[in-house]
Amino acid sequence: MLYAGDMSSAHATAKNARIGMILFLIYLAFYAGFVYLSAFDAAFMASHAFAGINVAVVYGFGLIAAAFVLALVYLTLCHPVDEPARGGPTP
Amino acid sequence: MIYSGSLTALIVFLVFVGLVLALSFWLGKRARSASGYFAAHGQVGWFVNGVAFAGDYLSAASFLGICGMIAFYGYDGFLYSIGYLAGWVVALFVIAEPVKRLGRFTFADALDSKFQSRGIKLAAAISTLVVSIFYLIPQMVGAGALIKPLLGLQHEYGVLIVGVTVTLIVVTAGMVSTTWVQFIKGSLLVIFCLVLCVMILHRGLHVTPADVAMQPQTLTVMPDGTRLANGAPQTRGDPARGLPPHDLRPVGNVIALPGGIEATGPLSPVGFLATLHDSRLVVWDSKKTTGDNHAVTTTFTPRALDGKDILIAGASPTFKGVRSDKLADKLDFISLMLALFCGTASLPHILIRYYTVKDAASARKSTIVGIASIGCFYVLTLFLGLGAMTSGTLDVTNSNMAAPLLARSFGELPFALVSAIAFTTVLGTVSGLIMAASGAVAHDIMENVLNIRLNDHAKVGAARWAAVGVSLIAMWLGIKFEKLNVTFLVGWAFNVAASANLPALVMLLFWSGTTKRGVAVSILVGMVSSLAWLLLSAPAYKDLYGLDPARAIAPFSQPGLVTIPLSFLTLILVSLATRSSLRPAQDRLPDR
Repeated sequence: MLYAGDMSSAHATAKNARIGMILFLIYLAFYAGFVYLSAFDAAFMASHAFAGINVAVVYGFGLIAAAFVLALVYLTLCHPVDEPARGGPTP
Repeated sequence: MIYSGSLTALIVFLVFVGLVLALSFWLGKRARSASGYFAAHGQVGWFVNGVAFAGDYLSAASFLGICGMIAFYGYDGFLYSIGYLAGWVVALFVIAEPVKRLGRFTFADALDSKFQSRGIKLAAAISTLVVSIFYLIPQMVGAGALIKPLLGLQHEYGVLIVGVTVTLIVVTAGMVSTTWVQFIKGSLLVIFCLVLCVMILHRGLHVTPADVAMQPQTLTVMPDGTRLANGAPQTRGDPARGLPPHDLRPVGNVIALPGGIEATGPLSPVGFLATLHDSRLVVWDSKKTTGDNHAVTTTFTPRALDGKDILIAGASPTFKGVRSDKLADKLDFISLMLALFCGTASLPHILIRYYTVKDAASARKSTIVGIASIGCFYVLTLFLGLGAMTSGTLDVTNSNMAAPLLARSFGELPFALVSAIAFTTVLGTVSGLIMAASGAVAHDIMENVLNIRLNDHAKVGAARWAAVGVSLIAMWLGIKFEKLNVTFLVGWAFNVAASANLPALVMLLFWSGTTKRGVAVSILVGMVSSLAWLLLSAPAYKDLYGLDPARAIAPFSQPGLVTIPLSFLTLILVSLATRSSLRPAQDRLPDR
């Protein structure tokens, strides 16, 4: 039998998982684009992006920054989940 | 190059190790139970745990290997930084919270939480052991490489010092002290690398005359062990007898700056990269030949490149296929980037850190602190590597020494600090790996697979003995594999972890049709296939067996592109084949 607390906890868990999956897919597209361009369009990666720095360097820094920004978005959007503490004493 | 021990470096190193051991003994008194030993009572704060993530993750390969690869080949080393960090996205968004909810002590706990299958426990424990040991080898090799210039000792002593120190740390206190060691090391590493970058930018770039920078060099090892640098005996010299030192020339030079200037003066981060883009630099190729008298000569040949060529992928032997027109040549690069992306979330010593915090929210916050620390460090690696590339202090024979030698170009104290931090880097990562491996032996194999009932005290004792055993194996392999490239070995660990562990974890979490046999078989297939592929690849033929790499059976060297999908496919097919033969209530996952 499910109680109200379990329901809301399960709901929050599912919602968090969905948010995580969406953010993961966004980053995956960004990362796959980087791998594709590095492998198949070196001329584009070598072209200037800004201030004398090429696209490859800017894209690389962008991937590192994007991981952090998306992680912050995730932290903001995630719902608290009621759960028992794990890693405690053995039952 | 010949290195002399440094008294400053020795003192700083001993102070570091002494402090770390003292902290370890002190914290060890607080970890008496199994949950204290394996999971630090699940009560480590999320910020400390997050920085400890960085400590766990920023191994010798990151600090020494990536800086060295950038210093020797430019942007190609930065690809590792990008791939290693991107892997954290998989860990945070897909794996972190479910794993925290499912497991208690180890990766096998998480995988087995819904099935109670000894087959899964055994497969996961073997996979944990194999990945941990593969990851331990480059750390030990890195320790041996560091000890030479730091203390002027041989490789074997470096391995033994790290091995014995880490064993003491792990045996005394387990996860509590391991976490604090990682926290201290992660913090120091990021802060000191930032300081080093400021020093690099403040120094700016300067030109070395091309007739000096473009001189080829040779290192000959005679059958009796005598070493000749550029044709004359390699020696430290003897000032008392008026004998001058003779060695290979340090490398890492700019031979032309934009606008024909000789030196830039202090630069901004953007100015540094933009100036390098329009400069001309020297990179080095090496070739080994054996003469009639059995003397082995390595010839180092300089190659002048425009800055714009070293700021895109493909300048190194590892990634040169990227610039090929053939699709097959590019597969190595694509496969490695896939393995780096998928590997992080599958590394057992990273996964066990999710159990040291109290709940899923803390796991989430920890991961974000980890991403911030690690991301900051990886941004710095590009500046550190390029700073080393233009510092004029590189050892042409050993790329792993780039970061410490860069620091030495700023004085003996920065060198001592960087070397000591690099040592604690190795200590921290090795202690985390040994924790994961000892947990796999004591908790998964002894208790859960062999059904040996242990009380808390006995379990911790078994784990400590397992830690000693794993340390001894790692030390032996670290000495044995001295000549192997550190980054190459880390690539092995990522490929094996991603092939063996990730498909099982992902499918367990997201497909209700997953069965226990599907999980166990996919782990074993992923592990065996990736290992077999690596052992049959061209780098293994060349570096392990001394055979012609052209005869290698594997069509390209990084297996992830084939073995990760193979492991997924195996899990799906075995699950489909076995779920109807077993009672659904026992064998299938409940719908999410």
